[in-house]
Amino acid sequence: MFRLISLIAVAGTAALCALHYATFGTRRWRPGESGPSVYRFSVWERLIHAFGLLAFLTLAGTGFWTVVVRRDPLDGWLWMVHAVAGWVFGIAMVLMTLLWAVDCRFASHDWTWTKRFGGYLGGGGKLPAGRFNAGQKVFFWCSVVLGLGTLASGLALMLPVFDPPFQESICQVHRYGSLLFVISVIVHLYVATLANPGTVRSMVVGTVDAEWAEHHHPLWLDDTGGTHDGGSRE
Amino acid sequence: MKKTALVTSLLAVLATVVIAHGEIEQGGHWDGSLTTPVHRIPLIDDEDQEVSPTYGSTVPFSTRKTCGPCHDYSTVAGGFHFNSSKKGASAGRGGEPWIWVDERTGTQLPLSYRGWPGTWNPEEVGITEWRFTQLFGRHMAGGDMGEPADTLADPRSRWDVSGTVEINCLGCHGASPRQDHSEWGKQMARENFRWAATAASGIGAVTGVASRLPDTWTVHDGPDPDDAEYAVPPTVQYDPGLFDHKGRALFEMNREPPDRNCLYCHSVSQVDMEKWEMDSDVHSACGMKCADCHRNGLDHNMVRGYDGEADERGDLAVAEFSCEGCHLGVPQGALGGRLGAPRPSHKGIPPVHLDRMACTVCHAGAGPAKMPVRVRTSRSNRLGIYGVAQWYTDSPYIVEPVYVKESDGKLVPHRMMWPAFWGRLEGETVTPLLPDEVGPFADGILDAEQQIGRMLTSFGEGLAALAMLYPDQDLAGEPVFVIAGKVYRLNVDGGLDVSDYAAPVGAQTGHWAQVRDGKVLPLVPDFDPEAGDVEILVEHAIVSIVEWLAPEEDPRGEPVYVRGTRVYGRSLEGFLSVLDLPDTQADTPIWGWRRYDEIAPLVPEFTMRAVEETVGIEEQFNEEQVVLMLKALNDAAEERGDATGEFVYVCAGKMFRLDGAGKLTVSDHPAAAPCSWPIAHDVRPAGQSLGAGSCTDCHGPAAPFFFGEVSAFGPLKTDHVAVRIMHEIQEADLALLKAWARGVRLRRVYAVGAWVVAALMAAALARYGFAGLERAVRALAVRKPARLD
Repeated sequence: MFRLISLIAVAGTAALCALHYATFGTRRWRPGESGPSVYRFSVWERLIHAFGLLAFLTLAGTGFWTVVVRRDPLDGWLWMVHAVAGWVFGIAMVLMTLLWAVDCRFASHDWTWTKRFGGYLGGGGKLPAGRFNAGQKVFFWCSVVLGLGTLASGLALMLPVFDPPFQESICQVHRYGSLLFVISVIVHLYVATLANPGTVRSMVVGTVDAEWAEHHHPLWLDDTGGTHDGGSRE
Repeated sequence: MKKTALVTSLLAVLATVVIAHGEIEQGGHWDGSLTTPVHRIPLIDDEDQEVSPTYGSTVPFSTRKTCGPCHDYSTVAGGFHFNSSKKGASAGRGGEPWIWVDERTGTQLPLSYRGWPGTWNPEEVGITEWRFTQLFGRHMAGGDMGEPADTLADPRSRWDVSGTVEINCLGCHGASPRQDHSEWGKQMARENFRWAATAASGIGAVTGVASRLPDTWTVHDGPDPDDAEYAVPPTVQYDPGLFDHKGRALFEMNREPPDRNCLYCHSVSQVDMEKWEMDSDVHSACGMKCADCHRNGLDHNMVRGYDGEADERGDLAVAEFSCEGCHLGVPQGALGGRLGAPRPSHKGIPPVHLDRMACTVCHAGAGPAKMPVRVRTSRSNRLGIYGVAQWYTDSPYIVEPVYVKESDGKLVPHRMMWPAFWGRLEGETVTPLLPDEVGPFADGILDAEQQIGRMLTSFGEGLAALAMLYPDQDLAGEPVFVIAGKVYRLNVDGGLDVSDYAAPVGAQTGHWAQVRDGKVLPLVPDFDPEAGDVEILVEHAIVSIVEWLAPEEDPRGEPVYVRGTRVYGRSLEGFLSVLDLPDTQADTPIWGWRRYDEIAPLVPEFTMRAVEETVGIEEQFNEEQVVLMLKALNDAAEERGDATGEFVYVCAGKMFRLDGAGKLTVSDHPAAAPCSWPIAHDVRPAGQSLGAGSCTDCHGPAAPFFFGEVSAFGPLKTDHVAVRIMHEIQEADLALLKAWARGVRLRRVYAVGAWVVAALMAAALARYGFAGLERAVRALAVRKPARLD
């Protein structure tokens, strides 16, 4: 059952992203090609994010491949890799949480962003957003909640103290929590790449185009005067 | 005319229905009463004659005729205990094979008609039903191959003399304290097949030995008035006190067999453990009987209780009597906790363990050890037959537990033995040679102990004869054989034991001596061979001994005693004969065989070496003897003009064969693979199960569960012994197991770290996430009235 739900959920999410891209993506704002750059994420932040992403992909790959493709409980070397990746992911998650929790506090302007769905369903113009917009904040806190859930349930499976039927229930929590996480990450990846060209650059080289920043995070740009966390307008 | 035909037809149909109904009813249909019927019944012999308890008779009662009228014999005969040799009978999961153990030839051959893995089909290796019954009747329940469809198929069989082995109903259901399984074993050994059930039941005493009777004897011939000592036909003398005034016997019967009846064939005990030290199965200790779980109806298809049995048999009710069925319950069936069976919580056990291992892995058999424990089983080691002589055998060497992956992928604890047999290799196929075929070649090669033993017996007789000549002198000690600093003495079985006597200094080469007053002394008093005539005492000693070494003409030559160049023997007149053989120079006295001018030792030198190497240990012979055996088999085949394949010896997990130069070579071969079968008893309680200590019970760096060693053991003393590590047998990944073992040690660190991470995330969530959420909710709450305004 979980296998079917997983396949439908992942395929459905991908299909929705594709549909969105076909409908809105191509008409959305695009950055200029050679504007000045703004320093957005420090090396430390990018490194942690990269580790988190890598660990997440490993976890999703080992977990879902076993259950969905091999149709067997996770065991053997895959279990070992999953367990190690889980630990790396946990550390990355807690560091990301500590790094970005303050910036991800909800503010009043987030309501304006939310009412217009961040412009993702059409409508142009700038929307108020600090370092992170309301969508990113929602994703962030969802990740924290799902990360916490999957981490705790995974721990309860790896270091069991309950009886097998309850462990089966925990396993279901872990599976469905992970599935939600995967879906949200697919959306996150879509939004950060195809839906918003230029965004992924911030997590790769640490800078963004000033014009991009002005469009997506105007309040952050105003607050920092072009600098943030030691960064500067280049 | 038409009316008559119609009435006749109707009557015929009616008769058919009545007869058919009668057949159904004959099957012992249960009327619903829970009482145990009193079995006060007439005994019927196999010719439908009622047995009279008053007179002795050569005809015993027949279970087919006595029990059959109420309990349909043919239905019962289809049961699991009686159908192994029947075509089309379900094999079910593997079980303990019959193991033909022949110590004389070093054979340990697992056999099964059911085609269980690792076994040989008796039919395919040339074992007839007659021979099988001779070999294993001691622990057969009757019927099956003991009641062959064609008693004339094997020309060597003697079914007409012995009778067939009917199902021994009383062997299982007899509740009388007179029921004597040991007696059954003895009667079967005497080939008193027809009489065994009667004798074992205790309702009558059986005397006579069918195996000694001529092939032409039949049960109708009755007793032989001319022979009351040796070839005595079996006769039954019933105990009249066990019959009522109408001549009916009162059988004490139980529908559910008492455990002691099951245990005659199904006992397992650890070697080197005393009976009082053993715990029983936890179920037995709680008062349960074997038959409480291993149930059956009239068809006698026992519930064996393994995973998947219900599906195989197409009967879901069977699943209710498995471990899981009683303790956990089965879907759409019985709830768990049957009759108070504890429902296990298995707290802390990852569910994958329950999916991939049978319950018995953690709960049954001996616990895993660096070397699995050695056990004896009733059927393999001939247990439970009592008498002055010991019937049990140390062989085969069976160990438990060995964890083996079954065909469904689940691990199951097994008992394991390694086959040993002489065989013929053709292409890649090894076909076993039966002990009956190899036996004649083994004499003189594999019977080293017996050869020495026979000599010691002769020396003993010779010394006794000498002692009779000199009653006032203490001349007759215990003859011994001395080699390599050890002194070997004769034991009651005709073999040898290593004695505690100190060997004379320098006694490295084999020689014969006697022990008197705790000292190892020469058999013949010392004398000077160059001094002319020998003393009369010495002459008598030599003559007495050589006379007993070869009472008749011996193909090996004339027994002699050699000192220096002088050869002493016994003349035709019975006096000492002296011969001078200048080419012979015996620095130490030699007993040997003289043929012309050649002196050969009493026993071949390889025999002495074999004794030196193998007496006192469990292995029976050495590689040198295997070489000689293989040469003997090859030579015999060459003489017969038989050039098919080559002869090999399979033992200790290896195959031994001769190369072109006549040297022994060792290789692996599938025929040498071990034979194993699942076990389910003795069940240990939860507190003594695997994993009750911790995960490291199995996942420790040196845990025997994965890293125990299973050594192949067989009759051959060799360095080429196959050793399998448990994880190899389980087909597990060694690197993964090692990583796992290391990982398990880091569990606490992992757990603490992970919980710290989770706590920090939860704290951040509480501090910022929920606060932000609260702020958002408040913002919404403030806006709402504004909109209303």
